[in-house]
Amino acid sequence: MKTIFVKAFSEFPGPRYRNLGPSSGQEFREEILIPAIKQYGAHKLIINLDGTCGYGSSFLEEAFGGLLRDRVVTPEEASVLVGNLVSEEDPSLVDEIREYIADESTRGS
Amino acid sequence: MKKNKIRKELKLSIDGKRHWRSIRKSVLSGNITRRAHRKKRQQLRGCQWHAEVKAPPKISLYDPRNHEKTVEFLRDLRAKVSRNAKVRICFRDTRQITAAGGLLFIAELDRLVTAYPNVKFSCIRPPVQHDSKYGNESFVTESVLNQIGFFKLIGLQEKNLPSYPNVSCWRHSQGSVAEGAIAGQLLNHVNEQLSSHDKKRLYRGAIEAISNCVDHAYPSLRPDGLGINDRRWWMFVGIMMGKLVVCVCDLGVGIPATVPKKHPKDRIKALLEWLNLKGTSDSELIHVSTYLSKSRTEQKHRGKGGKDIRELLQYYQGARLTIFSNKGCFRDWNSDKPTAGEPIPMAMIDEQKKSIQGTIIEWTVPLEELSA
Repeated sequence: MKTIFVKAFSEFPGPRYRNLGPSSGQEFREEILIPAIKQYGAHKLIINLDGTCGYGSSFLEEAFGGLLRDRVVTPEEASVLVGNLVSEEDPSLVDEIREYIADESTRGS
Repeated sequence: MKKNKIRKELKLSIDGKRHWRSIRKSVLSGNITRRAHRKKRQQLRGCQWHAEVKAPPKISLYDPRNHEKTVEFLRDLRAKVSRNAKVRICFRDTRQITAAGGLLFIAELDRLVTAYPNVKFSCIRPPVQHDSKYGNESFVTESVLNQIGFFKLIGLQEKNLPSYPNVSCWRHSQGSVAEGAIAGQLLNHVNEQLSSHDKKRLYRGAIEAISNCVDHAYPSLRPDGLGINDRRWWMFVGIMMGKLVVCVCDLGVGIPATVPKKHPKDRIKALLEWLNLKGTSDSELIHVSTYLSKSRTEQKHRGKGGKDIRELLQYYQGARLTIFSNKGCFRDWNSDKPTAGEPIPMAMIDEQKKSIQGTIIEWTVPLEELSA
C-alpha cells in the first residue's frame, strides 16, 4: 500500500482550479492523485488528509469528484479510494468526500 | 542755541511732529511686514496646496448613518486621489474604526495608491482621546491606523504609540490569487490559542470566500469610473470586544451584479418566491445567493463555497455572518441560539442608501466558544 500525505503537497490546500491560485484541488488531482493511481492502482492507495490547515469544499470536490469526471477511476474504484482515506483530525471530511463521489456518480450515470 | 532755551510752543510742535512721524513709520513698516508675510504665506500655500478628504467620526458599516458617511468618504477619496497630485486625509474627527469599515478603507486606499503612484499623501492624525474614568490619554484610533498599515501605505512615518492588546493582534493581508498560505498564516498569527478544529473551520470559510473573489468578483471593471484593473482581495483577522473577527473584501462588481449572470433565472425566481422576497434590492439578492449552492446548470459540481461560508454558524452558537455587497447587507446567525428577550429572526437583510462597490464577508465568533 502507498500512502499519500496531503500535507506533503501543501499545508494550505487552496481553491478549486489552478488558475485561481496555488495548491488547488485540480493540481492535487493531476499532479499527485492521477500519477499515483496509474502507478499503484486505486485499491492500493491510502490518502492521509491530516496535518493541513484545513480544506475548502471546492478543493475536495475537485480533487476527488474530478477523478470520476475525468474518468480516471470507475465509481467502484472511487468508493475503494474513499474507503482508504485517513482523517483522524476531522473524520467528517471522509463523509464529505464520499458524498461528492456519490453525487458525481449519480450525475455521470 | 541751548536746548532749554527753546520756546515751549516750538518744542511742542517739534515733539508733535516727531510723534506723528514715529506713528507713520511704525504703521508703514507694519504694512510692509504684513504684506511680506502674506506674500510668503501665499507662496507656501501655492506649493503645499492639496485636496483634503475628511474622514467621518466612525469609519464603520454597521449602522445606516455611519455606512452612508463612510461610503461618501471613500467616494470623495477616489475622486480626489484620481484628480489631484497631493491629497491630505484628515482624521481630525475620527474616533472609531471598525473591522469591516477599516478593511474597506484600506482596500480602497491600497487600490488607489497602486493605480496613482505619483500622488503624494499627507494626513492629519486622529485626536488623542481621554478615557471617561481616569482621563488617561488614548491613541487607539491612530494605533488602529498603524496596525492596518495606513501610514506605511501612504509613505508616512508611524509614531511610536502605546500598545493596545485589542489592536496589536489585528492582522491583514492581500493577494490577487486564492493563496491559502496567506489566509492560514493570518489565522495562525492572530490567536495562538485557537484549536486545530477552530482553525480548520475558519480556514475553510476564508479560502472559499477568497476563491469566490478571484473567480467571480471581477468579470468586468468596477463601475466607479476610474478604469482601474485591480483584481485583488483583502483579508483582515482580529479580536474585537471579545470576538474573533475575520473579514474578506473585494472591490469588484458585487454579488447582486453576479447572481443574475451566474445562475439560471428560474432558479433565482423560485428561491425568491420561497423566501418571500421581490428580488428588487441588493440585500435580497445577497440573501438569495447564500442559498444558491450550484453555480451553473451545466457545472453542477461547482458552487460549494456558499455552504462553507455559512457553515461556521452551525458550529458556534454566538457566531455571526455579515455580507455587505454594493447597497445590500445580509446578516445571519445560528438559529439554535437561545434568546432571552424577543426572538431574533434567523437572517436579516438591510438595504443601505449608498453602494460600497464591492463585497465584504465578515464572520464573528465569541472567543469563549473558540477556547472551549
